Amino acid sequence: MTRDPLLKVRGLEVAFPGQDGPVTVVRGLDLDIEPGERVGLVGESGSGKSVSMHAILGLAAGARVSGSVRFDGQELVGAPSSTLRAVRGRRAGLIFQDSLSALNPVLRVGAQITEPLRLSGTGKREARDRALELLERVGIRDATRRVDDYPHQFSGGMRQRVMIAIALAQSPELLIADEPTTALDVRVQRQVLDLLLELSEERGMSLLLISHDLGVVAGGTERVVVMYAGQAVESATAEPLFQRPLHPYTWGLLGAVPQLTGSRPERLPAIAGRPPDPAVPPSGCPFHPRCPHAQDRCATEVPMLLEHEPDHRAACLRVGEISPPALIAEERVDA
Amino acid sequence: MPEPLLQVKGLTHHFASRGGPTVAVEDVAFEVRAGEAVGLVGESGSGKSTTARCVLRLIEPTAGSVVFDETDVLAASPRRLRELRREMQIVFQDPYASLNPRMTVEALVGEGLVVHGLAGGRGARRRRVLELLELVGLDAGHLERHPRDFSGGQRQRIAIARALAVEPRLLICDEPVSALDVSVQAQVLNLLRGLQEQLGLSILFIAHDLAVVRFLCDEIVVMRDGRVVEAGPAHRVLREPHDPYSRALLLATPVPDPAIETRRRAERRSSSPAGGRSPSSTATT
Repeated sequence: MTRDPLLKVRGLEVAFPGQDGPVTVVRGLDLDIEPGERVGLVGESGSGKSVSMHAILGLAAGARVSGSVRFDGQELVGAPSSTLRAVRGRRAGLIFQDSLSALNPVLRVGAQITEPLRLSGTGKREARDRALELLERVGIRDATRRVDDYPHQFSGGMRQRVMIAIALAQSPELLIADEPTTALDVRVQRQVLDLLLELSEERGMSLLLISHDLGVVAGGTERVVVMYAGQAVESATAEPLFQRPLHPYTWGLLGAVPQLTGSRPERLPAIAGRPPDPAVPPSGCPFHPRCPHAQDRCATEVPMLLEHEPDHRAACLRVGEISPPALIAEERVDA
Repeated sequence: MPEPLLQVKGLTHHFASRGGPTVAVEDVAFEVRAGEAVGLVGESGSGKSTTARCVLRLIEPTAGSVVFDETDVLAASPRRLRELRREMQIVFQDPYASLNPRMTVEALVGEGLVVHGLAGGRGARRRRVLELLELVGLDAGHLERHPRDFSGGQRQRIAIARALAVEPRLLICDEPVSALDVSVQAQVLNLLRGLQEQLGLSILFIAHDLAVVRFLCDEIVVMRDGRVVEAGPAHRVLREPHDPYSRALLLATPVPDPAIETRRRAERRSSSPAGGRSPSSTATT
């Protein structure tokens, strides 16, 4: 018997009330995260990547959520708030892009780390020792002095580290990092990403790294899921996903990223048009209006996320009939 | 080699602040030749945006010289400065903040024509606005719409059309694509590349993403803490950066290739003084 994944999402649907009835922004998402696994979730704005993660933790206020989300076997969709509270923060931590608004501005950072520990019965001195240890671990120098500083006294990168320390305080089994480095400068971004990967490795903590940037999830994640218009359109271990992607949207995304090395193209192979409005989703395959490979049936048949190669799934009717443009196949040389 | 269209020398800007003047830009020098695209690269606080604003005299520099087509920009009379600003237009990062939400696309794109007394009557103006919209991939159906009706990428197209209306010779772009999604970013970059070729436009492109700069620019100027730390042809700077900071920027730029990223990560680990732990453990930024 195989062990169940730590997080098992099946057919997740998230809808928000709209002017002309509910607008579905996540439509039938399936996602597994194994214990200790690092997964990248990639999608452009409006793809539903953040909303789905908030819905998983019961944080999508005002949304109608259906489907199944099992955390360590326990169903979270429709669960009482006591169940959600027992998972959220304790067993599954979440860090956001905007550390300034996620942290309490009038509470010293040390207190923000120790608060949940104190609530779960840890002694005062022990909680403070733990806060110091965590601040040091996430790379805050001079932690004994800085533990009593306020969030605004930290730079953006340092605040992000503080937020990671808060998330780690309860030793979660899963850390969901929602665009954790998007607002940061490139070198700081890199340091924070390295830190997250390191912490995941040393603690055996699962990591779900959400980003719009394929480059951000390319290093260190074992599996990558690409979302488009509220659905997972491709899912594979990292290497095949980047080297031999199956879905035309993934081809388009990879092609649209300017390269640091190799030949410099006259034009970037941009994806035509823009993502669909969730209020008026296209029929059939959600990508068909922008897909250069679309046929008539793509406008009527909805593709399922099927396993086409071992551990490599794609939701495209034409897998096997079409091949990626040469640009992606081209060997890249390191910078 | 063509004469430089824009020549910046010794450009310095100090902010007055508590505890004496703070250096924002110090002794910055670079050139943009006609038809050329130059990338001004650096992280936040590097002074790249301040440099651009000094070039346009949106901020008055403390010292240095800015020469545009043989005219001393810093000594120009208010009247001459107006003419110069017609020839040097700027597109900002945030297309949500830079377009007046109450104006229609026609008014937004045509405003420069009115301000600078170009394209006389209403009919002529509308024809010119239509031409510009087509140039950036929009059409007559968009004339009466407002910024709120457009996506980020489309707004950036409107901002570009607005800048081009007065036929500038130099377009200064301050992080014009960093707020956009990858697929839309590619469309706007292609548009800028096309405009450069089609109109012989010179571009000063301010960005933090080296891969984006590489696509568009012939020359790269790397700034850190208000100073230029490295400058040269893009292919040279990216292949063999001389300055350690340029190298660090290059190595930190995400590459969508797991093999490369995994190797770089191992390199960062082994080169870390903490022995095994990455520099993240001891960073101060």
